[in-house]
Amino acid sequence: MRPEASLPPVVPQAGHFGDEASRQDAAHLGMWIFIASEVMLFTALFTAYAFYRYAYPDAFHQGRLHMEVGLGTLNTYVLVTSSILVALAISAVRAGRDLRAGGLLLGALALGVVFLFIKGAEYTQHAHDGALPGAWYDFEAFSMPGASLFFTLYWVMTGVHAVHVLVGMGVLSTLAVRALSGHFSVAYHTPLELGGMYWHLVDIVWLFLWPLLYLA
Amino acid sequence: MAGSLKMLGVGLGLLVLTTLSFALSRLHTGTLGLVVALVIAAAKVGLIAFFYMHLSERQGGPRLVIATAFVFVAILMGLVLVEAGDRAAPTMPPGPFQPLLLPGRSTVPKVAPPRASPGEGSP
Amino acid sequence: MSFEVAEPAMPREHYLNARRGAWSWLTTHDHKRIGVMFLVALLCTFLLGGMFALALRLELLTPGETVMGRLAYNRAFTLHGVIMVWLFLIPSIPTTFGNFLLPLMIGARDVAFPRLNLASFYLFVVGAVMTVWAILEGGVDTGWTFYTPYSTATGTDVLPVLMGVFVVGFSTILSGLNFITTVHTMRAPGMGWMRLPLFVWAIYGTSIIQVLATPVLGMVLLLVALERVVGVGLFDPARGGDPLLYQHLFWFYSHPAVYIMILPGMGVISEAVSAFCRKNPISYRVLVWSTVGIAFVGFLTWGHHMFVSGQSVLGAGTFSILSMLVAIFTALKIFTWTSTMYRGSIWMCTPFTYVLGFIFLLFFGGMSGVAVAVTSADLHWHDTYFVVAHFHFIMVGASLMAFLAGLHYWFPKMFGRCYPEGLGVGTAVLIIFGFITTFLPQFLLGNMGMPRRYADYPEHFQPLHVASTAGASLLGFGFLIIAAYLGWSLRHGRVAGRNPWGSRGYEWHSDSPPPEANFHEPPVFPYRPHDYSRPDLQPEVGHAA
Repeated sequence: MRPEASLPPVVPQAGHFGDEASRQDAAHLGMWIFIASEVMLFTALFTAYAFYRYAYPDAFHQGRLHMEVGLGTLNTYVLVTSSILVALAISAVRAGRDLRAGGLLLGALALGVVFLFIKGAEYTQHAHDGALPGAWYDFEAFSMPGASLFFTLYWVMTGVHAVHVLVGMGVLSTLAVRALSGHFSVAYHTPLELGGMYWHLVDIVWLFLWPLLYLA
Repeated sequence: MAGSLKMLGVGLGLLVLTTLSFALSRLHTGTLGLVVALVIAAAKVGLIAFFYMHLSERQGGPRLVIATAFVFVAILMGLVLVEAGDRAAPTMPPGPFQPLLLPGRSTVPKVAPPRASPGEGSP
Repeated sequence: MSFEVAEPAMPREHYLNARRGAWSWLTTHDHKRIGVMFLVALLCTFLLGGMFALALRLELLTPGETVMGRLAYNRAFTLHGVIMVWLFLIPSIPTTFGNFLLPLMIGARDVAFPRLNLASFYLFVVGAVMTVWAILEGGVDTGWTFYTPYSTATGTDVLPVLMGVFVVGFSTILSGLNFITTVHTMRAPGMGWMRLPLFVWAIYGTSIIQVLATPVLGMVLLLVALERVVGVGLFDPARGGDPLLYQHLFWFYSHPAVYIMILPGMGVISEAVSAFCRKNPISYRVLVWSTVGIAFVGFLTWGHHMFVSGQSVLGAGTFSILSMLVAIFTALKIFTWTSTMYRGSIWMCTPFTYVLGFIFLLFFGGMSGVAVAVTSADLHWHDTYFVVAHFHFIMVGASLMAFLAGLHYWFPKMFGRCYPEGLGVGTAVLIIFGFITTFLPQFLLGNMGMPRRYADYPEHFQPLHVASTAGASLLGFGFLIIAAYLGWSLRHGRVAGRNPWGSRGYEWHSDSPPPEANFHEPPVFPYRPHDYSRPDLQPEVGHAA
């Protein structure tokens, strides 16, 4: 076998990584792997949904008639708009306009709050109807085998999602403060990109929850 | 500024697709409606991932990661549904008996069918 | 050019003495120190799990009640299972040797996210403490699988255990994320994918499984917890739920978890076979692709745990055939290792003794795995000691042997000192012998119909149970000897020098123990990993100042 050409050396003096570009590469890859694991987390719930939809087709088909479709759809628009604001914030930082980015992030954060308020109104309505998960299900108007499982899945899936919204709001507020105090620049804004990706993930999950629970 | 315009354009696309999905759902097309709604959702996810989550700027690693994740989503859901699709009806929920705590159960509980006496019909 | 001379000296400064004090350990970002801390933590959990294994064997020495009642027995095997699976075997090789060696093997200074690495360690400690405390306090008796509806109905306190395992799962995900990113982005310039050491490939495959499967377990444990707290009823037949769905989701994680345990072990063996036969692996590519293959196919087989649970016929048949695919990839590995040994210059030292034990036991464990993957045969063996023996051959026989092989192979790398070689080989033989004495009778017991998880059995099973208990005490004795001589060697062992085995592995290019920055000067790897065909090529590495 032909002897291999020598490998170029690593450069320990340069510290941990070679340069900012490879640091960014690593950070983005790590974030994508984290997102992949979050996707699998929700996949467990979507699998349960698919299974029970298959087992109780009628209940799951009629479930949407008892949902607050207007509020759910409004929430979709709210979340998509906040995603747009986050994307615009990153464009603003890349163009060197920190203050504008901070403002956009605060806007996205406010929309997150709106989302949770609307969600809370929905939850209140369902609780009032008695459409509570599992053992506490007591909803006269929608009483057929599988109805309780539909609402159980509704509560669990949107509940886990709402926890992610809360975490995302924490991330956004930190980022907004850092952007307003000038931590980010054209050259360095990786945390903003990663935090934004998390917020988009929250949006993506909702984009699947919405048609499954409210539309079809 | 070009970046902002692109982001706004993508955002407009997302809002249009959302409206489209909602409008189509008013038609009540049953199973087809579900498929269409999921396809639209997938298209929106594609837009978000590529433009908002910077996948368009990243080659290799991140794309590999997310593709792998979707393969495993398909494996988990697919195999569970294949298995459930072939199950004998009594082993799917709610099962042959009326579960005690299931809302909407019929008021008269079904009894277990009497067992056939051994030797007749059983191997 | 340099060759080690007769009396090697300890390097003056290395990662162990570069900084001093407990605080410097607890707040370290150094992957080597984190690896050592994981090693200490895992040895503690292993000790605890092992003690309960011995208690179980003691109870089974005689029919009827020997030392503990039935509830105590149920609690003991739950504790043994939960600790051994989640707190020892799953993190065992990746978090200890993986952490320590992966950056060294790819010529990096550290992992990609050092702070995340430390966070992973603390999450593990918190989760482990929660779990152990919860089992001791709440006396969980569900077995390590938490099957519903029993786990949602039992009067014992399952909730804290679920939360503990959930937290440990987070630690696993963070470690996996870190390793994948490290391998992708921090390889020395010029080190292509097909030049990665085989151990790195193994850790990479394992990490993929960890990242993709663990979240599903986390969610399913959360659902069981919700079931207990608010009665959501997703897995409760009385509320129209399906317990089988729990098993689907649980085994989607917990079957690939077996490959989380065994793949890193296979990586260790691939390294050690070449090092101690002084021979290149017959096919590097086969070893790489079979690693990837096992990692992938391992996800397609979970249904073979559910053959008697009311799964559909089509499902059972599909999972049965897919399960057998794993055997093909495993066989490829075994053939590659054995043909690498053929006409090699074999050095019969302690790590290699464990390698031989590993291959032999993996062969038996794997073949019995194919047997239980056959649906008709599994109807007979399911939930008997046959299955217990089968998975102990894989998990203890193979994984633990690989862990011990790695521990002995890399002990000089980690601590710079050698252990008494004769004692090492003797103990290895004792352990392999003790293992076979413990678990071979269990195959026979299972085939005769002895069910698992029973504290009692009929008289005529006793001779085999006595043999099994005798073997278990041999095993326990063997571990005590290892602990004694390794502990002694930490301080008094012969100084190893940089490369006591004459190995061509990349990790030996730095000092043993390595300096805090891993390399004093940029290392150059002039040959492929595990290349023994060109002894004239020597590593060009700078020397300790």
